[in-house]
Amino acid sequence: MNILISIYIIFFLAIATYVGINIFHLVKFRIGFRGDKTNVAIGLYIAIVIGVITISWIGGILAYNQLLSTT
Amino acid sequence: MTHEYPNQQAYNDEPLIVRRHILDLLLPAVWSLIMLLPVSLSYVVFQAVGITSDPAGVLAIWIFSGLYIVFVISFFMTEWTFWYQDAWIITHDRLIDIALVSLFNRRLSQLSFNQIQDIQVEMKGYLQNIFNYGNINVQSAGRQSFFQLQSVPRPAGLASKISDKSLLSQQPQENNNVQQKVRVIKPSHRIGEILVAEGRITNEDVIKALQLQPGSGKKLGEILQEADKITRQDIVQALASQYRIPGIDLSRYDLDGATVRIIPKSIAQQYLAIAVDRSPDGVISVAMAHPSTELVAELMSQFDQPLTFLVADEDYIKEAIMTYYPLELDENNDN
Repeated sequence: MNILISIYIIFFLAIATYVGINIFHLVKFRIGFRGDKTNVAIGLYIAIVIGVITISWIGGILAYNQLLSTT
Repeated sequence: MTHEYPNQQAYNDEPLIVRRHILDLLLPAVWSLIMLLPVSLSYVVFQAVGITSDPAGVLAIWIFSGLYIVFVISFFMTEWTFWYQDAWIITHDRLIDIALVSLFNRRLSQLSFNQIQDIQVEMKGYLQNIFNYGNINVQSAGRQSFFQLQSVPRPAGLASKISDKSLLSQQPQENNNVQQKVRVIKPSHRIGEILVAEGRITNEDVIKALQLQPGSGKKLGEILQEADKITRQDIVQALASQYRIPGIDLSRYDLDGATVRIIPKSIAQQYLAIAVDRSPDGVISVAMAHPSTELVAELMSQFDQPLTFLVADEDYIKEAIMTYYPLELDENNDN
């Protein structure tokens, strides 16, 4: 389990860096004008990323516990 | 609300932001969906291997799948960023091209509407015609002679809007000619490069022409014209782009003999340059066949009046010289 968590942390950091680069790029090179959707896009993006990670953990823990109780 | 695009100025009109058609995101979207397929297939594979019976294995599948989905979403987000931040801004006086070359690599170019020489709309294939999007090619006399607005929605309407703005911006400039100082013109690019960039010829055509050039005493444009690769008007337009001065089609222009003769015949014949117009403010418009820095300097030294320069076809200039200058008496024949 420790190895699993260690590998996960490495991959998580790599993906988090990618997400960070995307957000930084969006902010840095935004074209400011009326109707700019950059903030909405960043908000939605962060919400989806957090949502997917959270759901994957909740789903994983539930499946883990279910298997433990059945075996 | 302030605008934060580069070199912004105070504008009365709201600038128009143009992006590529949303269908340009179709391919990245399809790719993202394909990339998501392994997530659904992985469970079947892992079940066959037997990992799904191990609680730690199931937990790993869930959390690593979550990471992978975030990666795919981020991939699509990068593509969306390229689509969203790669835009063209149309202000009241210029066109700004914001091109995202790669991540953290942005190229900005701008074109004043008064430099626009030609606008073409290009719609290729079924998709572009069905969904009404395509390219707008803008030919200019500026440093960057060719601007392309790629895959923009409703290109015909947009091109007409740009054309209207271009015409409006050129009107007041004609009246201000007197305040316009004569500028020294310099070639921006080689003529072969310009013709290739405009899509009139290929690199191979230039190489073949350059191979024929040594010893022929001909210019590159002449060789290409003789090979039927370009027309005389193409040469005029390319020279106009090269020297960032307007081109003029003398076949459609009513010349006035008195105006033409402002330039002495010897100079006109020597440099293939004629006066085509004289504004009420005294600015003389000079059309020349072979623009060069030296020729401009020479003409400027010959005249006290302010001059503006144009490019015209050599044959029409020769014809004008024959037509509008009095025939010289051949002294030998007089005897």
